[in-house]
Amino acid sequence: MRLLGVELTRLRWRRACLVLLAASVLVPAVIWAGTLWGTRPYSDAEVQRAAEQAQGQPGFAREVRHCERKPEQFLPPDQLPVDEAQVADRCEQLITQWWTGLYREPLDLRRELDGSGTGIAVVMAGLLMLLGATFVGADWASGSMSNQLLFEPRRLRVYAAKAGAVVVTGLLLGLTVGAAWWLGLAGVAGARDLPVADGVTGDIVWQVVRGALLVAGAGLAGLATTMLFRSTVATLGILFAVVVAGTFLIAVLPFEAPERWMPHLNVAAWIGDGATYWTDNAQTCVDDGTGVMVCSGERVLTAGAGATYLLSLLGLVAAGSLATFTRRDIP
Amino acid sequence: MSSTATADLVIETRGLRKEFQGRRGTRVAVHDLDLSVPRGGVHGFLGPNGSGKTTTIRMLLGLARATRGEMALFGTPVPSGLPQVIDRVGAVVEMPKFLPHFTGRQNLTILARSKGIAPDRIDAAVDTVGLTGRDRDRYRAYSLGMKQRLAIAATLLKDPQLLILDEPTNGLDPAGIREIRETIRSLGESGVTVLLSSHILAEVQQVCTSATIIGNGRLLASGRVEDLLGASTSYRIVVDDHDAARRALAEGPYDVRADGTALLVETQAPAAEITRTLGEAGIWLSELTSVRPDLETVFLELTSQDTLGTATVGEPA
Repeated sequence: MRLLGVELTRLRWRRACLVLLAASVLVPAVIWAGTLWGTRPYSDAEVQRAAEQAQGQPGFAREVRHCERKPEQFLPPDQLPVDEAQVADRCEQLITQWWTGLYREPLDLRRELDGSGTGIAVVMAGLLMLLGATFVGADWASGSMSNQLLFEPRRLRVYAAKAGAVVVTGLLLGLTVGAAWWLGLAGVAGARDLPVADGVTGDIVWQVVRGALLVAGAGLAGLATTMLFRSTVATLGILFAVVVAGTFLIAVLPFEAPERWMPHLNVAAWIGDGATYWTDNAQTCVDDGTGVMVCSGERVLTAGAGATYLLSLLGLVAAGSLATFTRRDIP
Repeated sequence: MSSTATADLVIETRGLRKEFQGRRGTRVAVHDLDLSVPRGGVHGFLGPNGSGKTTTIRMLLGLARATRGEMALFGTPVPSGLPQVIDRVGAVVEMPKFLPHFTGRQNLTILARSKGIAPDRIDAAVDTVGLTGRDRDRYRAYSLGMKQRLAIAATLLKDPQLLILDEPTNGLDPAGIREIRETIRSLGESGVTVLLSSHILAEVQQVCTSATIIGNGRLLASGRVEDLLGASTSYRIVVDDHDAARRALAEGPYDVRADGTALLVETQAPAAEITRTLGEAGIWLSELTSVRPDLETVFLELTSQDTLGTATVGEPA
């Protein structure tokens, strides 16, 4: 525990780590503000001004009259009025709405689970991966790793303390930022009198937990890769290669459904409690009941399958880096 | 090693070997080295560049893995027993290595906390190496000399019984070298065993009580400094007739060679024997000077007999 405390102090004193931690808070905050801004309701003054502008445009009156003559072509069947006064009123409302273009999706927590909620977890995971890499990268670059081992020669303990510091930081960051982000969003939804669908709260809690685990795992992956290659630059190169060459490689390998092995899909499956993907190579065909075979390439990747994939990658890198750290000479 | 380790030896290696695998074959950096450093005093560890000094030190401290051989610190086999003895060992290996964006004090604090060392020891160590007032500056702003001092301060945090210093005066100005030399001397006199690896042989001669000289990873000589120097005492003599003097001395245990206008006589015999031998031959000395070799002379003689460069065995398949 003492070594863990030392590594947490070292992390806290590292400016690059602090900058990345600050970014891990600021970027979700910006996404949060952007989400609220993009779903804000129109004010009465905005609606009034837009209506006046629309009604003043040439052709507006002709469109309303066209609607009044043939309301069944404009109004939904359940809104078709019985008398002419109602027709005129509803046609003007509808055409005004069309011409002003005043429509904005209201804040929907369920939708944000698959959208910005997933986004902040991925952003934090990326930043924590960089933090894990730069945290130990500085030890290798400065050569201070050897100094540390002159005080604690048990390399397994040193590795565990460094990894523990990054994992603890990742978990705390993921849980704190995730919880604050969703509480803030839910608070605004309440203030706007927006309904919250059943089960959303539970799904949010689970996504925060899964997000925190992803963030911690990403930090550990960054640390393990840097401990393996002993260089932050090498880690960044590897990450770039995985993103570019890895995706290309998986696409050309003779997998039945190569999309399933794409890292980003597995991350999405883990965070989103499953993800739907489409493959051209292996479509499933079923009889639609009329003797016609209907084929579809739609597949679902479960959260468990995504987690297994990500844990396997992490385990592979961590085991490799631990083995080399405990065996190789220290520069 | 535990059964054979001698109790009064602070450092002991037997058949220590380190090989590096490279594209051009296997390079042997340390060649079956037997090293014995007695308890107490300052022990010089000398050798040309690439002779295996730093590699040996790194193996002793667990930073490099020995290909084969046995090592012990305080009689405890290492690297397996390092956790038991590391608190008694302070070391500066090659250049000082600290995090550049941390202050000197932050670097020391991190190391001290990892061993539960009290903060007041940091003040004491900083004071001992003369960094008081500069310890809150960033390490990257330090001069090389200040970095060396910080590295030595780090070794003092643990109150070590064995101090391993690899070129500790690199980058220091003359005053700094003198200060560090005095620190090393006083540590040696206070009972701390110091293993001092240095290229500055005059410095080693001034502070060391014993020394080991290696070349190509092999042991060339080891023992008390006095013994190393005394093994090749020589005399510079001035006579009128060089040839007659050579003939007279050729009868005795003397190795004679020309040295400018004089002759250089190497022998284990005392100066009086040279005087008597020449006098009996009717040759009278104008001058006789004892030429006591310094450590540099001994070092150069020993290492020049050894093939420079590192031994290589085997070739890649």
